Amino acid sequence: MKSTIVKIISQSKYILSLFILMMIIIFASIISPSFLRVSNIITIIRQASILLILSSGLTVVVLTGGIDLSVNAVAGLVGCIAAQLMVREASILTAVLAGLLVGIITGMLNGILVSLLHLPPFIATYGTSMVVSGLAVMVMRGQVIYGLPDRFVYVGIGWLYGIPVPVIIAIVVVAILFIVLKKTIFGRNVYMIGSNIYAAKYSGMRDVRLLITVYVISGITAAIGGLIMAARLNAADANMGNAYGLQVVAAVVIGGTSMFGGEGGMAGTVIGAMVLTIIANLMNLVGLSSFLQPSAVGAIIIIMVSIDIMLKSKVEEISAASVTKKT
Amino acid sequence: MLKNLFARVKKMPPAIWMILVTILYFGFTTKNYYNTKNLTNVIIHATPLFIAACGQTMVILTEGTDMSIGATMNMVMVFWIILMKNGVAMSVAMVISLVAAIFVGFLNGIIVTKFRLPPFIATLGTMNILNSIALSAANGSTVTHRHEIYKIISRGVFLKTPYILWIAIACFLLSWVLLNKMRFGTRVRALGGNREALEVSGYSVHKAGMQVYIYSALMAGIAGLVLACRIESGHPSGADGFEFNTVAAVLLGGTSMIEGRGSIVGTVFGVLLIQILRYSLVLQKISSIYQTAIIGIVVLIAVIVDASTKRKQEQ
Amino acid sequence: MDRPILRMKNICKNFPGVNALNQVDFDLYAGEVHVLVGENGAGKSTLAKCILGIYQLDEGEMYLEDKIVSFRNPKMALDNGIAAVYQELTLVPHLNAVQNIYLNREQVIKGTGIINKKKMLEEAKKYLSLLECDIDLKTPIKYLDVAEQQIIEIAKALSYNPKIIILDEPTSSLSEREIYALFKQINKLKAQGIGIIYVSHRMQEYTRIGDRITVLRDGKLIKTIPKSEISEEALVKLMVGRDISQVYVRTPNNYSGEVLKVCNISDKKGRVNNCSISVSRGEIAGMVGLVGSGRTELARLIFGIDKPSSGQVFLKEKNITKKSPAEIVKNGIGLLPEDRRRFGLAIKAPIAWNIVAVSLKKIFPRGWISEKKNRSIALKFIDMLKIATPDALRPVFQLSGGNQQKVVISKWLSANCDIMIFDEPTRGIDVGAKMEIYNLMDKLAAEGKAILMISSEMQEVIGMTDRLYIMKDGKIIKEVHRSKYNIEEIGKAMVVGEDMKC
Repeated sequence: MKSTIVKIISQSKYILSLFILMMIIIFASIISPSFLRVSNIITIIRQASILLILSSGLTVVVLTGGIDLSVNAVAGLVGCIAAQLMVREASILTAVLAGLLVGIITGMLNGILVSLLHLPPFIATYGTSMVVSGLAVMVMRGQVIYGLPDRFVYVGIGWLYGIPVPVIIAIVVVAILFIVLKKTIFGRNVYMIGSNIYAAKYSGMRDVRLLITVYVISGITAAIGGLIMAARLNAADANMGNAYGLQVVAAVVIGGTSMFGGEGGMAGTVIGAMVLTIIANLMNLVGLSSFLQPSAVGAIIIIMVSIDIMLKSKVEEISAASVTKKT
Repeated sequence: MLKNLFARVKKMPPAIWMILVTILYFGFTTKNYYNTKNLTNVIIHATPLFIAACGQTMVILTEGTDMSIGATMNMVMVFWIILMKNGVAMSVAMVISLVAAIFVGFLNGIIVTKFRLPPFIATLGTMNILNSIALSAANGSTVTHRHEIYKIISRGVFLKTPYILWIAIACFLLSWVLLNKMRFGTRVRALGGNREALEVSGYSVHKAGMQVYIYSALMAGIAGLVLACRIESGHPSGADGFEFNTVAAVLLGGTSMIEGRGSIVGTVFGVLLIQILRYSLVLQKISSIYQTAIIGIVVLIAVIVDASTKRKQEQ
Repeated sequence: MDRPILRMKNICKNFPGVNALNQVDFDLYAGEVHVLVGENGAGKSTLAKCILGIYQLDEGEMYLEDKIVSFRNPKMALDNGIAAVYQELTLVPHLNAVQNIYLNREQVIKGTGIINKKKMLEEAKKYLSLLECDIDLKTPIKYLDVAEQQIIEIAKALSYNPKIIILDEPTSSLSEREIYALFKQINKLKAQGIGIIYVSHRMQEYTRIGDRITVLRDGKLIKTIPKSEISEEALVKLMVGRDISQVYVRTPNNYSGEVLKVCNISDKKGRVNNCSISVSRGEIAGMVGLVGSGRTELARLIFGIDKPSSGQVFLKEKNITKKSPAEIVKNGIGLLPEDRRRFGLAIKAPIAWNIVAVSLKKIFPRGWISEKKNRSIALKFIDMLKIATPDALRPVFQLSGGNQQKVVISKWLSANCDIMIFDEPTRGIDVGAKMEIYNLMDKLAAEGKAILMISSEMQEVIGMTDRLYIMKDGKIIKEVHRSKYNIEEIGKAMVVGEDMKC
């Protein structure tokens, strides 16, 4: 009986995450009557969309067995730079392009540190995050900027055909990455490198190129996320990138993407982002101190990765046992 | 002859020559750089980082990283002050806070050894949890409570040496003896150098791993108390960034994550380097805004150079 | 001396997917050297690990000096007088010889827990001098060469004053002089009444040192017999299980023409020194040498993973020196690495994905992947190579060693390479699957491919190759043609070396 359950769980990558999502929704609606109100659901979807954008590029990085801890810092820096530019009469387009450029450059830096200089990804990206945070502080000089152009702010708080704009952007970004991962050679190589980087090298894959690209993707989605955050707040300050903290990583992990690489995907991250946003939302509705949210996130990460590790060893035992039966 | 010198320098912890370079550079460009007051300040400011780095050294030797050091320090700071504020005697409050820190180490140890999570993820998770706890216990702001102990520890002197330095020396001696003169040390190096060797020798790898994380958390706890004495309050995010700085100090001090090579003495140099750098920037009146970025860059460069020279050596 | 000090009866040990040991009996007398032989995967290491307490027995009993015992971990075995020198060294790189020998049982000053370095140093010196070894005991062992490290392992085992010592492939990296010293030591241990279990699959040495020989094959006990009562040929037949002429089949073919030419190539670390080889279409060229002779490093140079410091590699007249693996692969060279789990396969990924891993751009020229097409291509190879799996999407780790190797071969076949370098192609594969691999290699050669086969198993090299190169200390010291194959001479050349100009 136990083995059948484990088999089913392992076959569908996302069934565990979906289950968690369902449980959380049920739990939340029981605990708080205002949870299911339309206005609350819209808030949730809007919040989740930004988290999702930030986590989507990170998902690709994690699939290669790495991690990008600089996503928050990059989002913050991009928001700040864009805001500073727009307040100084630069066009929205310039600000957006500058922001994306920042994302690309940090991505390339991370990629080079990891693939050419062989730094462990968490040290490399943690280091860049410190540098980038410092840069954000430098750019803002302790000020907070208000009053961004209306057209820009619309991206954060506006609607398009009845759907909040950030949600549309999130859907587009996720859809693009989803297709890339599933249907392109690049995407396939991401999984292969995550599964075994040495085998990938010995199969003639251009691993350096691929790794740098992967971190650039993460940088770009971080930049997009940062721009939308600035639009939504209609403000920017040096600390704005920290709004989501470790939730970015947690969303990827809850979604079933393995930290060791080679397993998982975008669909899981969507579920993960939903779960986290709902948890945060619920904690607010119930009146729990916002200080406690990171602890929930931390605990979730530990639990989910433990489950991933446990399931993996169980799956190996069970399927190998079925091979024995044949001999 | 020069080649020989070069080869010997390469084997030393990078921190040593980097310190020399830094001191020479800033010595030229800053007035009154070389005086005892500056030196004493650097050493005193370095103590919390050093104590915490002692624990991190052990963890890194076992191929792991303890990202929860800063958060443990935050928690201990806040707990200590809050307990005293609520009428608990100072030393009792100290003990309770340290016990809490040990519990954190125990938790980290279980997650890494029993649940088999990669250490940096496990400790990243606990880091968040602990920071949360510290923040909510302190309600988001710094907690204060008057007590003479702060001044005693941070400024009091015994045998011409500040107490604070005695504490650091004590931690240094403890860590050094454990690592170099006791079985604990060889076990730690075996954990990082060749896990199977330890297994085959009959000692539980789990037990050894737990000990390391408990030690690291204990050191973090002591560092937190020292920091609280220095700032004379409990700041729930006062120790943020300590985890990165301790990792940097340990790596710059020549400790390797893969071989079981490393020393507490090296860590001393690593910590000194970071503090000297920071202090030099302050003297140059470079606003603190730039400090984090610059130090981050320098440390990153050093880690890169170190990692690539190590790779070349190993191959 | 009448009753055996160790007796194993009806031993069974199973792992997921494999019956590693099946009703095996084994015993050992004090003062004897009992050699345990068999091909890779026969079960010798498994049996040794059962004796040592690393594995628990699924069935059967173990008697130590007539008392039934069961060791739950290696420490229990050690405490009961059974020590081992493992194939994979259990030394900590950064610690020195003394620290490694006394790991976790350092002698401490009573009451303080402080290690007494001086005393340990003296005792360690004692054991090492017994082995006639003269190493600086204070340098971290990572600076010593493999042979010296192995001697430290042996000293470590000796320091437990054991009744039984198990040596698992002890000579794989030793020179002739060191092997001689090792055998002298073994004889001394014999005289002291210590029983020695010598696990090996290399006939060159164990026929010199063994008193009795036990042959295992596919987890079963084939025969236990005193060395004097069996000939080498009979031994090989027992190990392989059938007439050699049936196992190594080569069909003649008419292909010719040099496709791969390596000229005076050296690597940057001194492990490959001025080597020149060539491989032609339709032939299987072999490369043999001791561990550390540089064979795998040479393969890596050809394949582009390492860059040479001098020399050239030509593929059909085209200079491909210093090209990256991606380009080498495009030019039609494939490498099946020694450690296939670590370098050859993405072990968590589906079989189908591994099979197309190299040829993605060729199969999907527009960059768009069709899972359907992927699966059908995979099924084609599964069928062609008879890979035992119910479907193409299973993750590779679920396959047995032989089938995993077939997946690696399929990978390179789908890339249509002209030249294939096989590094230890049958390591960890059972006898039945080995034959299939040999047949495959023969078929590939018959179709005009050029094959370079690196191997430590003399039998298969002599059986399958048309020519072979002998490597020692990074140099090609000899090239031998099939007609002149002589197992003793080749073995000797590998160990002793000969002055031969290419």
